[in-house]
Amino acid sequence: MSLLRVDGVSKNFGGLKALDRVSLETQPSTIVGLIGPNGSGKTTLINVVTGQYRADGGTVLFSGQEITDLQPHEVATKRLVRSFQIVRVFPRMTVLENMLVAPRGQSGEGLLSVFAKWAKVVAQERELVQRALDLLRFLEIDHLSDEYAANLSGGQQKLLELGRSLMSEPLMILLDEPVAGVNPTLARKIFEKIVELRNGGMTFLVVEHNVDIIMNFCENIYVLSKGQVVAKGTPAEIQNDRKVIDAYLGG
Amino acid sequence: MVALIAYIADTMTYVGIFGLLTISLNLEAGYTRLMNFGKVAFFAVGAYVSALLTVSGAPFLAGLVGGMLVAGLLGLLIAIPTLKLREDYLAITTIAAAEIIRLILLNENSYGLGPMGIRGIPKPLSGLFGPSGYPLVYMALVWACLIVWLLISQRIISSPFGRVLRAIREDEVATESLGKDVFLFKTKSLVLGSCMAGAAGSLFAHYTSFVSPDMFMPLLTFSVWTMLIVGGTANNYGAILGAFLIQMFERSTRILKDLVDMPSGAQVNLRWIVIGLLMVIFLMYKPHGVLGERKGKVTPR
Repeated sequence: MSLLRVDGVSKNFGGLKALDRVSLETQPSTIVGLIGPNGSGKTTLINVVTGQYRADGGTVLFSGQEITDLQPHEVATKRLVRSFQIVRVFPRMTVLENMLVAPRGQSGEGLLSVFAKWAKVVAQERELVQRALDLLRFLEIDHLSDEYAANLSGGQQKLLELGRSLMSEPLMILLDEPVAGVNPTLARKIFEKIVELRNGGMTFLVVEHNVDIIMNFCENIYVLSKGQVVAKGTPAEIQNDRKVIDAYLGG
Repeated sequence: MVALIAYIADTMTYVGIFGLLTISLNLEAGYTRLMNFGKVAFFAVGAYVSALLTVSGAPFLAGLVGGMLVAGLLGLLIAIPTLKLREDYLAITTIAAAEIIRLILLNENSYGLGPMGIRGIPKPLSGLFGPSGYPLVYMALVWACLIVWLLISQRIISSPFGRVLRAIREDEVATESLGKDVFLFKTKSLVLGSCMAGAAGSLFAHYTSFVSPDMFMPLLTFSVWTMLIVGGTANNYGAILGAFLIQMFERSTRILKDLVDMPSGAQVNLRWIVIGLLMVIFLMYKPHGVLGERKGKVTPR
């Protein structure tokens, strides 16, 4: 059974068909690539799936449940989270605090527990700090845990955003250009981490312009153009698809 | 000597009341970025509810709690239609709400409201202490309230709840995408801040023992904003320091009148000009105030 299933989703902005009956599915524990020219609707699709935009038609299913009209925070509680094309870390909070915002079901987020069950809140906090530090170590930014997120480099902020998503223990992460503006070495490293997480059972949908990376790391690729899926298949199939070469890859 | 002590007690009572008001604004604006430009409304509601309750025979504590609750309710009332909108809408709505409240207090003639205000608001514990010691007693009462709310506020901010508020301040969209119900958190922040402002209003009413609509002009809101900006946003000690500094400044301009000859009215206007100037200077050169936000420490390490 597919984990995420997008079925005939449309989204219009005035007269512009940003998404035109887009269908897509991802199997659990895979990395699926989403490519296409600028303005082809990749980010719009992510925004519709995660509830930032409301679909004008079609359905979105996650883990067999319909999530089409849910609010962004409700989608996230279904354990489907996203990252942003332009990083959105919390600049005037430390790296560790950024990580700790994410976990779901923190008892200390209820005002009653903050006053009535402080010991429980502190105990839970201790566990979360441990998990956050472990994750930061995995992402190799643990030495920055007490630094303001604003002081991190662009690439480090991308890693932090990935780490923050992971703190919410998602089943699937939608990554919107996770290595845009990141140097090739770090970009490769970020994708190696993603593969490691995939091997651990996580599922990814990745929007990326770096064709090398997409071809190397994705099991399946969807190609969007002008709001429509024009091709889907394995990297090898996509690379030889005439329509894709014309619309996107060139050559 | 007695007069001097009374003067100091009076000053510190005002610092305490405004300190409470400033930390309430800090919770909303400093930590959650809720641009509440109608702070005076919640202060006024706390003052009036407490006054009306105690004048009709209820004990001071009932007035205080009643003032807090009704002010909190007003916060909830404003939160529901506005907190789903962009932040500037809250600013506009709260300015309007504050004026509506003041005009109701001014023009409503039943329930003892109206331009004459409410007189003879009881002074709590005044039976137990003589008039000479009372200013000190009331100062202690105000500061006890301030400290209780400060402790509550500090606990909230250092908790995961407070962390979400700060995340909302930093980036609402990102916070939402992590599964936090931003609307709910913002509502709680505004309601709590409103309760706190209501408490400050109640303490104010029982100190002056007289309230009237012209005590709750929009300028008071901006005075509290200046306290927060000068003292330090997102730092409760800074907020109290700001209340102290601005109170000192306002009082020193009152003394200035006796030393320097100036036309009547000039001194009040000059004071507001300088306060406005201070706000601009701080926003430009020291936007985080005298004591800015300290780097967040995670409780257990």
